[in-house]
Amino acid sequence: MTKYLAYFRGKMQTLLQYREAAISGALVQIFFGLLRIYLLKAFYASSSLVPPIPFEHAVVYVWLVEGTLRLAPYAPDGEIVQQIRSGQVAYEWIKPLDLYHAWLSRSLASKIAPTLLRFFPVILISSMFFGFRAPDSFLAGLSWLISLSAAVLLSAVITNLLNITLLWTISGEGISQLLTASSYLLSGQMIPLAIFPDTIRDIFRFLPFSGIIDLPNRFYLGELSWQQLPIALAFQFAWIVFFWIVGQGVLRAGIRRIVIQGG
Amino acid sequence: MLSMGQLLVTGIEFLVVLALFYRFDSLLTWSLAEVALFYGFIHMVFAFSDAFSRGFDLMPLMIRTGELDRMMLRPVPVFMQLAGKELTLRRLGRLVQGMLVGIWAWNELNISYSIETIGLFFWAASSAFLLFQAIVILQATLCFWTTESIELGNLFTYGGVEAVQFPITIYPTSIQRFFLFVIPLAGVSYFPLVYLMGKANFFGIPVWIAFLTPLAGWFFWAFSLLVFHLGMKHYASTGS
Repeated sequence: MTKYLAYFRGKMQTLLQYREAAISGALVQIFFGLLRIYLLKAFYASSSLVPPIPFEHAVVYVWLVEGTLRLAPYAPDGEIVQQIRSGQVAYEWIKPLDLYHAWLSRSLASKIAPTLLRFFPVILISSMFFGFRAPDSFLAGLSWLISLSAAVLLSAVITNLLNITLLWTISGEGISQLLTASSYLLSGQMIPLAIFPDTIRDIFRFLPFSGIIDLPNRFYLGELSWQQLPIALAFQFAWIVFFWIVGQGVLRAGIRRIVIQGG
Repeated sequence: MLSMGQLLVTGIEFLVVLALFYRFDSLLTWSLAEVALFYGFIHMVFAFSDAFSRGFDLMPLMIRTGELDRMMLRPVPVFMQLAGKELTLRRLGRLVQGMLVGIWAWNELNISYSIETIGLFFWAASSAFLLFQAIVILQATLCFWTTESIELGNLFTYGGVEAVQFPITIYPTSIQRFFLFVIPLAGVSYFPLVYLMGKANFFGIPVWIAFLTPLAGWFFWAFSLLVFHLGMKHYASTGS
């Protein structure tokens, strides 16, 4: 266990160095968040139909999305890309650790560190100037934190599966773009899932990506009550276990076919 | 694979527009087809411009490695060499979906195919192309002083696309002014397209202004080249 913790800590410490980049990143995200809010505001103002969620909720939802943007699975681990390209990955197999969990520790760190760095500036500025609000109630906030923790794990197992597919694709750029696109749409990062047509919304909410952004956000807003937390966690953990098993299976298959060139 | 991914990534943005129109009917005074014209135009042009701009992103690398010195010896302007350096098809997906959406909108809005409309379209497209390239050139020019790349340019290119893929009347005046006078994206996109739709431009300005506003893109580009040349004069090789 301590070995994996060391992997986690190493990656965390590396990533937490990028503070200036995180600040400018947070500013960029505030700009994009504002554009999104003005767009929604214009749509809300021009419709006589009853909106699926109140505008104030949509605003808070957008800021939660911007604050936790880096939580979503979107790109493979840069170092693992390098290792696979250069063949250094062979040395990783010699080490007395389970490669899947070593990589998973890194994936976890790569989700947590950038999110921590960006969350606070985005939330601070948006709550001062742009309509971000405290959670619906204390229990809503607590449920949000708990389901957000599960979301981190879910995102990490998906990211790790992306890392593993690099054994086939080498660059991973195509797949990571597809993944980015799906997670953008399906997690609720572009617009709250509630805005999609009802049947499409229900399908999206059944897919794993909704467990990363949409689900925690709905606890925060009080759209889901804390009594529903066990069901939500069961949903998230069902997908976590699914990707955990698939990831290990794919890794095993990948290792079997790999040929290491001497050099 | 990469282009397919691109097509999906940017195609998904349009799905969101569709979802919003499904839920809310209209966007202030704008219909789906009108928004689609703004959307298709800017994505199409940005894809084109991006293909001829990525080379400028390599500036910090080329300054560090001394590659830039070699470029200066060749009898072709450096900025042209840079523009053609990373000519990739990576943005094909964005280009295709922008075109599909744009052509659909053009027909849906019953815009005629005359010399006037097609001419105005290409006039606006050319200056939008140059405007996007100018932003990247300005960003690259900063490297002469900092030798590090600044991410600010991406905010103006990607942020600009994000903003003007919708009519700018939906934004508060501060953002409108920014895209009118600082980064004049409204001049190259909003006014010409509104003219093509045969709509008033909501700023109380005569509609024929649409033929003049694209000049802003050309001026901006000329300005960026001027700054680039100043940077070249200032440049002293890192001597590697």
